[in-house]
Amino acid sequence: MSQHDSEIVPAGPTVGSESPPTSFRSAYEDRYVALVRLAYLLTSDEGTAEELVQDAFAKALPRWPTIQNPGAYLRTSVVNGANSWIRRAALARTRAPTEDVHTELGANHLQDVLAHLPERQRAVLVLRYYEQLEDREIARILGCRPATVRTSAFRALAQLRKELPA
Amino acid sequence: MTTRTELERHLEQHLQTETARVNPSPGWDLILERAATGSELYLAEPAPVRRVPAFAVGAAAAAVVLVAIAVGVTLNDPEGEPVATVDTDSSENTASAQDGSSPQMPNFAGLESTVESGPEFDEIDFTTPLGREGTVRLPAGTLVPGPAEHGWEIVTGRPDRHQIEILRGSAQAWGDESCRSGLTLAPDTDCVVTATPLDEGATLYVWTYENADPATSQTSAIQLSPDAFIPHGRPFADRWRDSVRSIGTSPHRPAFEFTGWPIERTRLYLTAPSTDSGLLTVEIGDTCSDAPETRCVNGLFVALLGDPASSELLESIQIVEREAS
Repeated sequence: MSQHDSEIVPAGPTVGSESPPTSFRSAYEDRYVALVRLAYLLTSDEGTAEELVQDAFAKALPRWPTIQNPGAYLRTSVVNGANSWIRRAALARTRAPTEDVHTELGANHLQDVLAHLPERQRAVLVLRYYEQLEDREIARILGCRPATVRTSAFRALAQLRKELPA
Repeated sequence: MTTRTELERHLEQHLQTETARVNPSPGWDLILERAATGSELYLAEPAPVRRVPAFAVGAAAAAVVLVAIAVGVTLNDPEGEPVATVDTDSSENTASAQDGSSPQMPNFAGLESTVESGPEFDEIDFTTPLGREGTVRLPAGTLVPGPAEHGWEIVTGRPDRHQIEILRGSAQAWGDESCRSGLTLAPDTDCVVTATPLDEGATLYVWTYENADPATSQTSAIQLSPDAFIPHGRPFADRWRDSVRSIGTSPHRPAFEFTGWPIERTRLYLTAPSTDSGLLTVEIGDTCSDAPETRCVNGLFVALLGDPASSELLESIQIVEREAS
């Protein structure tokens, strides 16, 4: 479990009233930027990242008192949202092929390589090396087994070694 | 913390550097507005499957019942040709019959969109307002994405009680780099499975086990007709019929495999056989022990087709949670 999770304590009055729970506001202020950065690493699009995080918070608000681990809940929601967005974007690209802007090697080649990894491999790398999560927690977020996380990480790193200049 | 390799350290540094410049300004008011209105965010890329408005859900649900009536005729057509196809581009939420007769198959576009919803089942954009009352209108057997720790959840229709039970943990990741989703069918139950999206040429496998125990049971002879395989939104063709192959005779082999799935959603009609010993478990995934590819099915939607006489399914159904046993 990430160090962020323990900082958010679910509490507060009934959601749905005019004023959200104080803990919700606190969670928002504490985690918003970090979650946007997480979403950005997953989507490579800053605007989309903000949208995803705002969406996650907006959907969490009505259920806030029932959410036992808001930090983990929000992170999972953002990762799921990012994966959905990635799938939709990939499908859209297949329908309307456009110029691939990532084909050229550039200063941010590593980010380009990350962006082209399968969504699970990308998520595993980001959650492991950015969020510093344990494989078990990553598996919980992605809905797979820890062994799958390890395999995904291994393959993703192998791809990075292959793509990046020595 | 394990020792990082040079590549891993480089990656960590890159991720920190890459995100350091991302400093968004929290829009608190925007969050409150969105939470209050329940408005769906528009993301940069349009969803491949449109959502259906609330009023259309009733029509879709009604169509589910029609399928229960029609599916037997469709799947057992002596000519081996489907009597209807699904037009995803149609503004209607029912399919158009090829022979011009009344629509017989539902367009599950709205239901399919649920697989792209968030981690909570009540976030499904199915009826409005979602995530507030906890009441949605779903056909029995809808498979919805639950919280990550619980995987998929199957909605089991209880028309006699007007409620849905959420059965947690009904699907799970299965082995390294594989992913199957499954459900348990009562004997003589029809269901329709929609998987999405797979690459062109991908292979999907179906496992069946009696009594939900793959270790000990024999692969059941689930009734799966090639004619039941209907690519979503495309006319049924010989190439698809030929793509269905029965290969399984043991619990460690898939019972069927399908190749050449289109990238768009594809649906599959199954009928669980009569069994004396209870339930039949069906698992669907896009990999098996000897398959080189390791991708997961990105979304899987399963709807059990209820008793056509149980029109109560069309009523609003209260979702209740049941603790995992």
